[in-house]
Amino acid sequence: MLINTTRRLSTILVALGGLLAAGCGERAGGDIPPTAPVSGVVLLDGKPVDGAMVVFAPVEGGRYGAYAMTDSNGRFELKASEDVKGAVPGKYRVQVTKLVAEGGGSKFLVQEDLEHALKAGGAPQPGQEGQTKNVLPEKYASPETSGIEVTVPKEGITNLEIKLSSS
Amino acid sequence: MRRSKGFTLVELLVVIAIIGILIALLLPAVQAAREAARRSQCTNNLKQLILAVHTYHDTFQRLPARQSGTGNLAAFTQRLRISGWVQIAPYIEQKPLYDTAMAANDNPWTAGAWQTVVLPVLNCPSDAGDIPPRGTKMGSTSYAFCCGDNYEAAAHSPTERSDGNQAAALASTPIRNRGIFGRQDYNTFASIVDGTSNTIALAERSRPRRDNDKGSAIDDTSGDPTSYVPLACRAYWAGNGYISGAPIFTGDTSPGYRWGDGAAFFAAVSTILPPNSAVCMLRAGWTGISGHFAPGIWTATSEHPGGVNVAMADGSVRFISETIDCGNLGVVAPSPSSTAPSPYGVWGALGTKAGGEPVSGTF
Repeated sequence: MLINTTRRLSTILVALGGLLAAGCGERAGGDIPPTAPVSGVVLLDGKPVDGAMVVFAPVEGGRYGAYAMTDSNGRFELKASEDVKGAVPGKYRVQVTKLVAEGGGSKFLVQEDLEHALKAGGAPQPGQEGQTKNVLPEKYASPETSGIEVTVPKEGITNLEIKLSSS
Repeated sequence: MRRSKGFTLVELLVVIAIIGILIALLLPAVQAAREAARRSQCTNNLKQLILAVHTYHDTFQRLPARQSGTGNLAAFTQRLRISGWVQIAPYIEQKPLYDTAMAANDNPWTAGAWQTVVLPVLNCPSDAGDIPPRGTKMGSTSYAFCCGDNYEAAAHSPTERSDGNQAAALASTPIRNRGIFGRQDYNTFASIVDGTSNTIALAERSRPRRDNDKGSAIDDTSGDPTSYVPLACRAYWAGNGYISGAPIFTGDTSPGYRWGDGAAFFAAVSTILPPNSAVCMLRAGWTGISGHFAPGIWTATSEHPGGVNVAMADGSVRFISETIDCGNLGVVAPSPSSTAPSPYGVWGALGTKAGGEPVSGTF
């Protein structure tokens, strides 16, 4: 009798706990309208580029952008946000950059280093600040200058080729 | 059925299971309560700071500048890099600290009598950043001055630091912004045409604990402020940190670890990208100078779930959700002198002091 009651009670409690946990689920993507899947490849002079950041900036009047980083085969699949795949159908201007850390960076007097040294009574040493470098042509570093325009239709794009040229 | 005197093993297990479930249900609630208490303390800090800004205005008939000080970028004094926090120190009961800083008349990044002081009111209890991923730790801070929706730098040009003549000539030329605070830009309440209850004065910028952590800055050396779109910065954000392989700035001290430094890198907050997302430095042409001078998108970040605290210019403190409307992040930010409405939705509109955008009471 008692076992039966507690068993039933525990079943109910477990079910209740499960329901509560389910109720705490996060919303995904906020208010982004329905998207269309967009995937493709980035080519520089015909060769795929890995680790490049592709950004689709909506033209005037649009609101929702999309972006993705290319994988080791130069392929990408656009996301409208961290948790929404695809891009909202519409017209976009595209930018492509690949920023890599440059070992050492350029040499110059880092103001802070210089003064640390002077305060400590030492001689000023030229400091070095590691920095990044864009290895793709600078022209593509902004949607304003890249000259690449893509219109995403409702059914999406499956094999978009973004062709960059280094000349 | 014969009733036994003690409990059976099954009964005992069931009871333990029930207690376990109840505790499991309760624990998140307890954790949430602890965070709620920290957030409340954080809100109170911002309230104290905005009151101090008001008191400063009462005293001098103008608001403090985010960045000011003696000397110029090339001369050895305060190097024009003293933060607004130092300016308002006398109004948060820290007059001796202010006097010490003014008497020392030195820069904010070399450890000295005042640089390493940690003020509790400048530190949000939720902000757990303690050791900077890069550089040297001075007194920490979790808050920053709003510069609006343009890309804000700490120098007029990339050569102001290295060219002594240029530095001297520009020593008293303000860098104005679409927001309330800038370099040597002392505004008044009268200049906040959008209304003090619709304009953000201070907001949170939490400290990173690792290179890839929230609060760290992306070092975009191809980012040109005249053609950069904020979406390119947003693309490096993965929800709770940067994507792996993101080009993080590793040059010198990380944001949040120098309370006395007024450079935009440490003390400015932009209303462009949504709260709790990416911070980016736009360094095209700015690579021959310490990264701390570079223009950038100084996004508001915090460790509170779902958003950040901001202090409006009227003295109220609000919690802004990270899902706030940010308009079209695919367009270039307006120039600092522009008087056009912000392209970045409600968030952008709240940052500008004279953008002329209508903002409803609920945001």
